[in-house]
Amino acid sequence: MDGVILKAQNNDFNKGIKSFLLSGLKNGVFDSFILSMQVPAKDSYAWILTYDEGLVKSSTPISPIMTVQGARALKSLRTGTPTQKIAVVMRPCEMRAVIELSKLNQINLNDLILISYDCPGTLPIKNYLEDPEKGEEVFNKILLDWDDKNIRETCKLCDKVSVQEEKTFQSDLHITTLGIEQNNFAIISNSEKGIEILNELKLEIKNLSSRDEPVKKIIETRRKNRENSRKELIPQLIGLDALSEFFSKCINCKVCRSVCPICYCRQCYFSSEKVKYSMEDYLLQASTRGNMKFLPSLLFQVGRMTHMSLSCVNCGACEDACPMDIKVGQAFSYVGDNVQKLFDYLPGRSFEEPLPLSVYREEEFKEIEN
Amino acid sequence: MNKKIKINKSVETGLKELLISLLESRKIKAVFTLERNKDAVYYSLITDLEKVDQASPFLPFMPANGGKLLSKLTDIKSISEPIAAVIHPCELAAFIELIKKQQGSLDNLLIISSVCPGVMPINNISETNLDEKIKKYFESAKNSNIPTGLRENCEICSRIIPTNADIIINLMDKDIDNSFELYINSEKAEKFLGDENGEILDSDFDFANNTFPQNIKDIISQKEKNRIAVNEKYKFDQLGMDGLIDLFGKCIGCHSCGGVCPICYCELCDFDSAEHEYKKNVLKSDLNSRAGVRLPPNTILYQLGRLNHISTSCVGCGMCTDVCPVDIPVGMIFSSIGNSVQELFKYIPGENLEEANPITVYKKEELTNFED
Repeated sequence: MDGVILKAQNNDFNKGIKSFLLSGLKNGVFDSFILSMQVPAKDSYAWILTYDEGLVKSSTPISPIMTVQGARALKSLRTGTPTQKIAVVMRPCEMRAVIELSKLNQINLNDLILISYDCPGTLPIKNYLEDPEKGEEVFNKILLDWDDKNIRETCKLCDKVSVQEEKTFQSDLHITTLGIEQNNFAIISNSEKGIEILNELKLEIKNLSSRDEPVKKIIETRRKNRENSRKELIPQLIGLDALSEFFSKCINCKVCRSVCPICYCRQCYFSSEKVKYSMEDYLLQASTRGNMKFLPSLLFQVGRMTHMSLSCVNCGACEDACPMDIKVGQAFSYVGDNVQKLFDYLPGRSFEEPLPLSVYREEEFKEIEN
Repeated sequence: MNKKIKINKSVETGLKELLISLLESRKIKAVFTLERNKDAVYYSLITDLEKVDQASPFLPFMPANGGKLLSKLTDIKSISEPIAAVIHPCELAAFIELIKKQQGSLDNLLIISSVCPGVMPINNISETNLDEKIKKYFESAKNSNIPTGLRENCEICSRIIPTNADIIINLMDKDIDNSFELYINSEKAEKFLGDENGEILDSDFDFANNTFPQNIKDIISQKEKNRIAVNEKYKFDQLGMDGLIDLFGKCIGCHSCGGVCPICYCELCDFDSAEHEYKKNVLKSDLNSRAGVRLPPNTILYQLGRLNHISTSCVGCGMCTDVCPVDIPVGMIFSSIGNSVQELFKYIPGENLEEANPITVYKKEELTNFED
């Protein structure tokens, strides 16, 4: 792959990225930014939309935790964007969710320039909150050595960490650090819009074959991790008894749904009048087995899975937020992978690929007939 | 004279036997109570008397506010056949608040509750030494001490008497492993209980009217002291805008606090409605005046707005803190500020079903000291 090589003194990628963004502002290819930024108390991160040079300088484009899934942040611009060339720096899984939400008409991509980056994973929010200073230290090390010991379980299983010849996620530009010489990073165009921007900036395009091996290696490691972890996970999910047991701790708080970038409905079916029953109905249900969990949560979990698994990007936000430590992200990712494979669909792979449920094919799934 | 029944069994066995006898005699159709299965705890609707044995009515956990759940059981229509519900005092208080908001009904519900020693944070249910912890919890309660490892909200909760329950059980009694008393606290309860449940005696105590054992009075005054100490620690009343930003800066706008709150009953929260969607022109002017805006916007507005909506009814159950993914002490904030608001109106949520929520009542001469 080809791209432009830029300086990042002392391997401070964040600083390098910010210089690039500000040079784009000067050249008029960007007019504003959506970036991750430390909150005033310095104990977390938030998304900020700004055109202010000072705020850009104090931002942290590559941050240690995913507090709000980036696509959820972009969704709040649903009624329109105030500027036209907004550079958005987000993780690959956030980009993929952005693409999915654009297909669901929740995000308008026209005014956005999507910039993804090589993502080593993020720290579990709770671990970071225990000691934010230490979290910063740990994550800065991860940015250089890509050690996966301290990152979220769902990130350890993620193989969409960087761009390759075979496309797995869509953005306009991609920032890469893997396999690039010390104190440098590179930017690769990942769409037509991206090519135009690099042309406009008149930067010298170089061959980046040095990154092929390291990218391949990390992807292989992640896939192996996933294979191993699924060996343990799958038996916990197969069959109704196993599934009930898997979600038995669920307290119905539905925070998984609230933080999910794909669950965009203002009024979820599972919180609507449709799922309200009278005491008589509940008693009838309870009397078939003698007792029942109230409220039951399995229907919600399986229902949500049915609604969003084709677009699940395995970002792990649900698992990070679950107060009961249910491996909900891993379960959804496993089911999502299988459903997506059936339709030969990869959420967030391209702007154009239509959502399978929005397409009718006469000759589909013959083998499931009868 | 108030009545009681003395039962010479351990409190858990005795209560279960009572529930079984009520089911058996068809005085009730089902039992609503806590159940534990390995590291899962949940409310269960039990119709089969053989399943009652699986219940853990006094397990010190609150997987969901039981008042919210009872509202979901009864808000379409009140129930036609009696059900016994074993819930904590704050859950009953929340349920009564919900009934005032037309979200449920006490009809045909036999409420059994205890003088509550508190509950533990819900995620403690997975701890490896849980049984040991639960044993210690009951040991402390028995000896009239406040158990350790409670929800922070429970540490400062002095509303530990379920004033409006039909049957009250005192868990803070040293004989609890061998015998306990069922305090009959309503006419409804008298209809359910009879000689078959034990000899009906006169009671020295009238929990609903502030007559109860000295040890409970001591615990209540200790908890009131705890509340003052906590208010001094957090100083919520002196936060100012910067303090609020520091406190809620971590908030990710997931609205789970509202989702589990028993008082937040709206099917579609105002702050999730189209009304509150960030409009392009507002965004533009915000961006011009501040140079940067946070996305999603209005995290603090949500918290303050919700506080406005529920503070007169906040029962301080602490569900919100338990589910907050970013460890904001939401429950402490809401309980502290709720308490102050309730003091202003001399209103105690859940205390009296007949008493209207102050924000639904107009009094001409109210809070005149806030004028100008």
